This record gives sequence, structure tokens and C-alpha cells, in this order.
Amino acid sequence: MNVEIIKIADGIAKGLCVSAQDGEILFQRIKDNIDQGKKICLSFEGVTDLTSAFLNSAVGQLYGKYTDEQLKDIMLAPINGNPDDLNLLKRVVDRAKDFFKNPEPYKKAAEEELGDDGE
Amino acid sequence: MKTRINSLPTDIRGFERIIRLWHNSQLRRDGLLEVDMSGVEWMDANMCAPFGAVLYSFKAKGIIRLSGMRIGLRKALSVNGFLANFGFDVPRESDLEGTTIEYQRFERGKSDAFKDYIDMHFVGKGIPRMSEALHKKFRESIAEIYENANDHSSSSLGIFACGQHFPNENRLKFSIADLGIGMKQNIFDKMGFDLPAKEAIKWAIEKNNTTRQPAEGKPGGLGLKLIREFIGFNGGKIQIVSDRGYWCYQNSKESLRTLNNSFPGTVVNIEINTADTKSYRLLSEVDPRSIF
Repeated sequence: MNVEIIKIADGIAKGLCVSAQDGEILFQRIKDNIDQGKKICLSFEGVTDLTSAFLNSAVGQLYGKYTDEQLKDIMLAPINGNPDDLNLLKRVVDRAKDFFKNPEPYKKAAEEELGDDGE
Repeated sequence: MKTRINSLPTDIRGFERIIRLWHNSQLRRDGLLEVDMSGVEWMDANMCAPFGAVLYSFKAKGIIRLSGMRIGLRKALSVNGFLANFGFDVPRESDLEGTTIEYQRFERGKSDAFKDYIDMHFVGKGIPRMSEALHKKFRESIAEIYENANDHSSSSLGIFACGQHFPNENRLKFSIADLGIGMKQNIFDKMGFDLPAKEAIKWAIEKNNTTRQPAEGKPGGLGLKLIREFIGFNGGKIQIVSDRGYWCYQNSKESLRTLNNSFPGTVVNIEINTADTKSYRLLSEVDPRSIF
């Protein structure tokens, strides 16, 4: 099995993985490797700070390019992550799955909620 | 013509006063904005972010003069770099007490500059004194707020940040302001919901709500929810002002108000309890094998 270990914090000063801009660069790296047929193992080594803005760009948008099933197969269990960072990644992934799978319920639910509150 | 401003605490009164200043500044036709600050008995230094945003928006049109400042205030605004940022010829005093988080304006889209700011003021500095877990949560929170402003504001005027530690109260206050498209307008433009401004803020904070569309390629809208969770655990406070809306979360309670006038953008202020020693380790750990 051809596995690429990608260090999330590579090239990011002080391990501050916080900006969507840096997340975008990581996304391209992951995508390039996926398109070469590789499986991906993300490493959290060196990550100091982490935001949902960074992870939405880096990982969340993968769910707009590939199916859940494909990513389940391609993305291996991340390594060197602390519980907080893994939890944030999980939340970003869960949200991305829902968001791309069927965005209409989000909008409908919001409209219904507003209808209830707004009257 | 002079316009007068009174004390600027980090609450609805302070925000209303800054908004009034902005509206007054828009009426100036003589190219001079003189702000009489003799009535400012107290100013939370973090309020330099929205105050600076308003002054900056006038800067391109004319000259700004701040008059009547009391000695203590002048010193505080010198220490945090606010006065120097507006070209006032005041020697920069050093932060002997280590409680200042510098006032700074950032160009929109320049995330690296904000990362440098976090690095310079927070990483490994131990100032203010708080647990490493809390420090990390705080840094991540302000980065989320900055990224949110970067993403939504669409303003060429930039993003403004400032903070202050109040060691006697074990509080750290930090504000980020922008003069871009506010939440109400953004939600209307993207979602078609015409909400009162305070409801628009509430909507943006609610679980699962986002103005992002799948066609934009990536999901969003998680940052402010995470901050609310963190502030809830920490016993802090979060306040958001956008357009005529004011939203506050403290002690597990939300409060919403409609302001007298509209702020031409968004201000987010977080206030954390620095004495908090919780580990912030989550109760349920995630199995790495079940993430994707």
C-alpha cells in the first residue's frame, strides 16, 4: 500500500496551523497525493495551535471533491494528535460530510427556525 | 468641529459611544475630526480596536486630533501603540506591567501578519499568566475570530485588534473589529433571510448555520460556535456588535439588544477568566480510526 505521511505543520512557522490560507496549501498537497493514488496519513507532529478555519480549508473541502466512501478508504488514522486536535478534526469532518451531502436541509432547518422565532 | 466621547468600557455603552463617533465623523465636511476625550474617565484598552477602526476610516479623508486626554489614558494608549499608529508624536512607553496586547491593524487577506502577532504576544511568553491549555484555547479563539473577519468582511480598510490583561480581576479582554459587510447584510446576500441585526448575530452563532454554499467548495461556520463553547467552560464572556445588533453570552445566557445606531462592520470581543486552571481535555476522546 502506497501511503504518504503528511505533516500538517510542515512549512508553517511555529506550528500555528490557524489560517485558511495555510489550510489551502495543505489541501492541495493532500489532493495531489490522492490523485497520484496514494493513501494519506496526517501527522499532527509540530502542531501548536489549530483552528476550524484551517481544517475546513485543508480537510473539509476534500468532501466536495471525493465521496465519503473514497475518503474513508484513502484517509488513514491520523498520528501524533492530541485529543483536542483530533476532536476538532472529527467535528470538521462530520460537518463537511453533512454540508456536501445535502445542504438543503441546513437551509430548510434554518428557515423553519427563523419562522418560529420571527413571529 | 469637535465631537466628544465619554468613557469606553467593553459593554453596550462603550459600543454605542464608538458608533456615535462614527456617525459624527461621517458628517464632518471640513477634513478635521477633533475628538474631545476629556470625558473619558476610563477606557478598556481592547476597545482601541473598534475605536481605531472608526478613526482609521476617517484618516483617509482628513486629519484626526485627539484632545483633552487624561495622563493615565495617554500613557495606556502610548504603551499599546495606539497613538503612534495614528501618527501622534508621543514617545512609545514600555509595558512595565506586561499587561498590554498591542493595537494593530492588519490588511485583509494577510493571515501571516496575524500569526506573527500571535507569536510575538503569546507563544511561549507566559504573559498573562495562565495555564498552557487556556493559553492555547485563547490563541486559537482569536485566530478563529480573525479568520472569520478575513472571510466575511470584504473590507479594504483592514482588521483591527487590541487586547488588555486586567490581572487584579483575572480577566483578559481582546477585541477584533472590521468595517466590512456586517452579519445582517451577509446573511441577506447569501441566504436571502432579512433578519433584524441582533437575530442575524444569533443565527450566525447557532449550530450548523453558515452562509457558505457548497458551490464555494468548502464548509464553514464552526469558529464562533467553538468559541462560545470555550467561553462557556471558561466562565468568560463574548460580545458581538454588528450593524444595529448586539449579542452577548455570559454565564450560559444569551442576551440580545438593538442598538441606537449601526456599527459599520462587526466587532467581536472575548473576555476570558485567566485564573481558570481546567485542563480543557474533553470528556470523550476520539478514536483516530473513526474520524474519516
